[in-house]
Amino acid sequence: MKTRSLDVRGLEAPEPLERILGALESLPGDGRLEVIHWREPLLLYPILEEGGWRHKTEYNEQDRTYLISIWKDGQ
Amino acid sequence: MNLGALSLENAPGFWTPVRFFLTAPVFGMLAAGLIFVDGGQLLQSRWLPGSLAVAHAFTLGYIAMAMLGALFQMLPVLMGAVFPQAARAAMIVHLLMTLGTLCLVFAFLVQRPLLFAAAVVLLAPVLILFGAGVLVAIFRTGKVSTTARAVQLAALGLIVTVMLGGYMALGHAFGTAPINNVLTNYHAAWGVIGWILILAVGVSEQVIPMFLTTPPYPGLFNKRLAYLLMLLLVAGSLLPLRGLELAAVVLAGCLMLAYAVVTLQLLGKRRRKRFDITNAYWQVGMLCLVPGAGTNVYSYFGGAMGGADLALLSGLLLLVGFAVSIINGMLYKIVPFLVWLNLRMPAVMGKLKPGTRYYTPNIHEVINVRPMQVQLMFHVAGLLLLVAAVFFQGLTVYAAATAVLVSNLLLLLNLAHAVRLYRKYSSRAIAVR
Repeated sequence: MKTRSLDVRGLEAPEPLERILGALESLPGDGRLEVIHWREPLLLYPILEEGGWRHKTEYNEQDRTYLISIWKDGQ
Repeated sequence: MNLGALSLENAPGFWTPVRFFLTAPVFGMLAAGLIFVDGGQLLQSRWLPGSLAVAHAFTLGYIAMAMLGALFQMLPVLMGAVFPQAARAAMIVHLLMTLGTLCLVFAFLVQRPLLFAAAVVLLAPVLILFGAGVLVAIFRTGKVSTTARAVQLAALGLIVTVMLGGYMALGHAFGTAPINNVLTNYHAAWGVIGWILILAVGVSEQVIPMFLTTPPYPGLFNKRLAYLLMLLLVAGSLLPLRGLELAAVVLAGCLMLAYAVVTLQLLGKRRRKRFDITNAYWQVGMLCLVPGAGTNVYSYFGGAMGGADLALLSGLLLLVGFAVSIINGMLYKIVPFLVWLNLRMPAVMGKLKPGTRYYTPNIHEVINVRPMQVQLMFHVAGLLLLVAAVFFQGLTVYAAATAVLVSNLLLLLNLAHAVRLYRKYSSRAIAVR
C-alpha cells in the first residue's frame, strides 16, 4: 500500500479541504493518505463516509496536531 | 456522526443557509428605504416608531436572519452538532422570520395592534424554539468547545431578547403594557450583548484564525469573554441596584473595547498579506465597536453631543457598524465556499461516471474581488453618512439612505452571482450523472 503525506497546517480555510479532496482524487485504489492538520476537519468526515472512504484521526498532544489517515474500504 | 444536512442527493446543504443569506440584504434595502422616505426624523430619537421599525429591519431582518442561516451551516461543521431535520426546519424558520419581521416593521410604522400580535405569533415561538434547539443540539455532542459554549450562551441571549420583545409587542397589541424604557433597555442589552456580541466573540475565536490565517486569540482572553459578558448582563438585569448596573455598563464597555483591540491586533498579524475582503469587513466592524461601546457608556452617564440621541448613535455603530459589517464580510467567505463545496462533492464522492468532465470554480473567483470592493466602499460611505446624519439632518440623510440601499443591493447582486454559478453548474453535473 502506497502512503502519501499531506501537510495542510497554516493554510487558509478552505484550502486544507481543497487539497485533501484533490489528493484523494489522484490516490491509487490501494493508497493511503495521511494528513497533518492543526484542527479536526469535521466537515471532511461526512464527505469521506459518503464517498466510501475509511478514516482514523489521532491527536498529537505534543505538537497539537491531528493526523488523519484515509483509505478505501477493504484494505 | 451523521450529518444529514450535508447529504448530496439534492444538496439541501446549499439552500439551507443560502436562503437566509439572500434575504438579509433585502431587509437592509427595506431599512434604507424607510430612512429615505422618512427624511431623517427617525434618526433624531430611538423612541420614534420609524426608528424602531428600522432597528428591527436591521436586527431581525438582516442580523438575526444571517446569523440563523450561519448557525444552520455552522453547527454541524464547526461543532459536530446535528440540528434535527435541518433542511425542513430551515425552510420553516426562514418563512416565519421573513413574514414575522415584515409584520413587526409595519406594526411599528402604522401602529396596528393586529400586526404586533401577528408578529409575536410568527416570531416568538420559532425564535425561542430555535434557541432551545441550538442549546440541545450542542449539549448532545458531549464535548463542548469554547465556540460551542459561546453559541449556547448566545442562544440563551436570543431567547431572553425575544421573550422581552414579545412581551412588549403584546403590550402594544392589547394596550396592557405601554412603552417601558427599562424593559426596552434590557431588551436592547440582551439583544446586542447577549445574542449578537457573544455569538460574534465565540465565532471569531474559530473563524478569524481559520479563514484569515492569524495567530489564535491569546490565552484565556476569548475563552472567558463570553462568560464575563453574560455574567455582567445577568447581574445588571437581575439586581436592580443602580450602582451595580452602572458598574456592569462600564465593565461591558471595557470588555468590548478589549475585544476590538485584541481582534484588530490579530488581524494585523495575518500570515497572508494580500487584500482580503472579509478581513477588511472585520476591521470596519471592530473600528465601529470601539466608538459604539464608548458612546453607550458616555450616554449612560448622561453625556451629550450636540443634541444628538447618543443611545441611537451607539445602536447605529453597534448594529450597522459592527454586526452588519462582520456578517457582510463572513457572507463573502461562506457563500463562495458553499458554491465550491457543493459543485465539488459529486466528483469526490464518485457520483459522476468515470471520465466525466465537471466544472468547479476557483473558490476565489466565485465572486470577483472588484464588485466586493465597490460594495465595501458603499457600505463604509453609508456608515459614515449615517453617523453624520444623526447630527446633521437634510441632504445627509438622503445620501446615507442611498449609500446603504446601494450597498445592500450590490451585496444581493454579488451573492446572487455566486448562486447563479452554482445553479448553472450543478444542473450540468446532474445531467451527466
